[in-house]
Amino acid sequence: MTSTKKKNLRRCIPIYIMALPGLLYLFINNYMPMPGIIVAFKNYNAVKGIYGSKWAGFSNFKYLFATQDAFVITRNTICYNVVFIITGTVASIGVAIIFSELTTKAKKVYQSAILLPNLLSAVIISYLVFAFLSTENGFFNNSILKWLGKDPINWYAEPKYWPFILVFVNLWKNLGYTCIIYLSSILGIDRGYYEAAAIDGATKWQQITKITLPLLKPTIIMMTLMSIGRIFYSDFGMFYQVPQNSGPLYSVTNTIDTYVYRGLLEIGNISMSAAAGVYQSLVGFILVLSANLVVRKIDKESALF
Amino acid sequence: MKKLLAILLAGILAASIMTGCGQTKLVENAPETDAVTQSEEGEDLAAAAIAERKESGKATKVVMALMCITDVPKGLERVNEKISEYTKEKLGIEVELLVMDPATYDQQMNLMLSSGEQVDVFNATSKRMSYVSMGYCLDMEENDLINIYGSEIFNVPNAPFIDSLRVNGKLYGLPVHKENAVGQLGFVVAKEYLDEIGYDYDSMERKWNDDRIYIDEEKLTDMFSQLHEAFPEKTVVSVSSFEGSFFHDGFDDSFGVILNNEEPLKIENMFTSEEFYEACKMYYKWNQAGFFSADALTESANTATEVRAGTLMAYAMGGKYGIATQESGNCGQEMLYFQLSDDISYTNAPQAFPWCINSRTEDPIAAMQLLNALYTDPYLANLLLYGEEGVDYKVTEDGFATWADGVDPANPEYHINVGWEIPNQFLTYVWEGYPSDLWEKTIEFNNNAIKSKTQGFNFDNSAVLTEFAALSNVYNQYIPQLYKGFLDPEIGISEMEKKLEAAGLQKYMDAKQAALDEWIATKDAE
Repeated sequence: MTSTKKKNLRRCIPIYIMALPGLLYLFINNYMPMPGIIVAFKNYNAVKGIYGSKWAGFSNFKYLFATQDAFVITRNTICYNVVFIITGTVASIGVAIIFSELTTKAKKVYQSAILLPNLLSAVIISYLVFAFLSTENGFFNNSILKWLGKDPINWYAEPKYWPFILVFVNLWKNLGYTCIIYLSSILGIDRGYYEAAAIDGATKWQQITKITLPLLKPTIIMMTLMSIGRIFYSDFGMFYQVPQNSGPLYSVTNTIDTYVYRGLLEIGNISMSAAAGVYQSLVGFILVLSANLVVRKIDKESALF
Repeated sequence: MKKLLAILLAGILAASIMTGCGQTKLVENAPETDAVTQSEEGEDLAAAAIAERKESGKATKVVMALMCITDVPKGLERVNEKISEYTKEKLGIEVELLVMDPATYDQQMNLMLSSGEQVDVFNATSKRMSYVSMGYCLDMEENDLINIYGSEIFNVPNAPFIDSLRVNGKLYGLPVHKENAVGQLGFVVAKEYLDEIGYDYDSMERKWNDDRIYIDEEKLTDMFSQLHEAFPEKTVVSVSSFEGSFFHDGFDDSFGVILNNEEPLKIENMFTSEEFYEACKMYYKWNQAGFFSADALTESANTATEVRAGTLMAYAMGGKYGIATQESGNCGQEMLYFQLSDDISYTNAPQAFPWCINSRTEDPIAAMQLLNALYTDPYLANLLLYGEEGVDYKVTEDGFATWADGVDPANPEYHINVGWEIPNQFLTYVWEGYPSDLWEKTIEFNNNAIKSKTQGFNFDNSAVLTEFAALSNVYNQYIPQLYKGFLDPEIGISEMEKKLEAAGLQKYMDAKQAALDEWIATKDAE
């Protein structure tokens, strides 16, 4: 028994060596800074250092919950992320299936085109959006609304449109990337299933619902669990740059990250920023654990751990 | 799995012990400096320190950080070498200049200071109080550092303002020699357009005996509407939330200000004051009349650039002596300056852009001696501000500085032009185009301005940071809308007021009042 174990181990040594750089990186980048968490519970002072600074208890966390904004920013962060997860998953699976069925040579071009927005920085995207929505020179006000004979809209002062704009922009930006992940899973499905189904007279729709989707389930669950872990984080560029930091829109664009950024930009307090980070990761951690627990209850095989 | 966890935990523990050691070492370093400076007294010490550095054969490296307002100059390395050459000879110090653009400066400084990277002397822009509360700034009077190694700093014209940089009695920074008052509610207007509509500005009152023109709100609004009528395609005026906000002394923020500069000094709410309402109403009226750009809320372009491009005719800017000349230079055409209100010297005016020494610097003496030289040596000041004489600038027969032959003014290699940020610009040549008595007049301007009675008071808000963060969020949400006239003050101000109340405005103001009372009590006791 032990000899086979030893043999196994020896056989795996090259694999362990291959994993070493990655593990080392993980250790240095993700584990070594962890003691720094205590900064969130200190009144950090550079001269006294992290360990010499006075303890502050939970006072650094207070500003996150100090006003009625606490509700708005938590609501915005979570609701946007939930909508992003749902729309993103549905749209990217749909597009991935369409891609997998395409046989034209232009497929590669489409794929690159849909991935391109993902490579743009938030600042560039914000100006692309601005080109459409600018009050004076924007495409919407100057072309579409004028043509329809409607009054121009001051987009950056009207909160009611922004939930839709942000969901759309997020989808446009991230679709390509998640789509590729789903597409690669679909391409990994044995073509034999589809051939057998076709012989039995299954329609395309039946093939998608009975073969593709069930076999995609583990990928979908994994991707969703990973998104849930980040549900308390928001894409800073999306909520700060894209609405151009416009004051009237705060009620629908303020998320935890932008609130912390705006509040601490002037203060530059390290302990308070650390507190926000600890709060976000803690809630994210709990959400991943509980989501995984739920998945394990329903379908043990698909759970992450 | 368990084994792996154990290894990881052990690793974390080891890592934390290692970082722990690093920290304690830093703290232990501090007392060493005591021994060096307390050994003897007298001015010879300064000379001895320089001699010692020179004899050691290796110049001490001092890293100095400052912000520029343009891109980082291309000729930086060349000028840096010239500066070092000079300081090596004079002080035994090698200087490394870190020049960063305004978009990244504060963030970079925060990172460098918190990570312990070498930066010995730095400009604290508007972040002074935050740096002090984080412990980044050295107390310059500790072990008589400034009295021994920087004593000449006390002999320069702005020295009386040094005390305004004290926090709880400790001197954490040195003031920049610049104008220390601001003309309230002023507007820079392009002359070209006023000439075209035949506006008579020559007969208007020049209340301050300089190039600034006095105007009242009614006349100004009338002028803008004439401009708007004549040039409907152009934006009339641009007001940034920063330039629109010069109202009252609030000690680095607007949450609780001194409305009446009279005893007993009282912290009051600016946002419910009549003046604030009137100003917001003026901006609202202007926006209704179409003076602002429809995209003003999201605009971040440089106003001078927009004037150059011919899309903007006027913008708000704090007034001072020589402002019209300065802005004419920035806009590439003749500009006129109109001012509605008085010149006021706020408590925080001399406190802006102070020079500080990093509390973790290895050689505070060298850092202080470099500062001493920058405050007193005309050669160094000119070199830092204008670059090399004969290469970047030249001196005219009348004693003005101007572009050297062959330099393209639109694209100079080195011309950081931040006179208001370098330690002592009064040492430099006056740039051609300005009146030759610019520095004398600036000192006069400082002296004539209405002085705030709280000169020298600092508000340390570290006990109410929670409230400050929440208040800042409300401020950022409403103020741009009000100053750009996108929100009816009738509705907007009360809405903002409610949110400010909820964010703890009263508590913040009470803390400020308590600190002010304490400051007055100690001042009276002295």
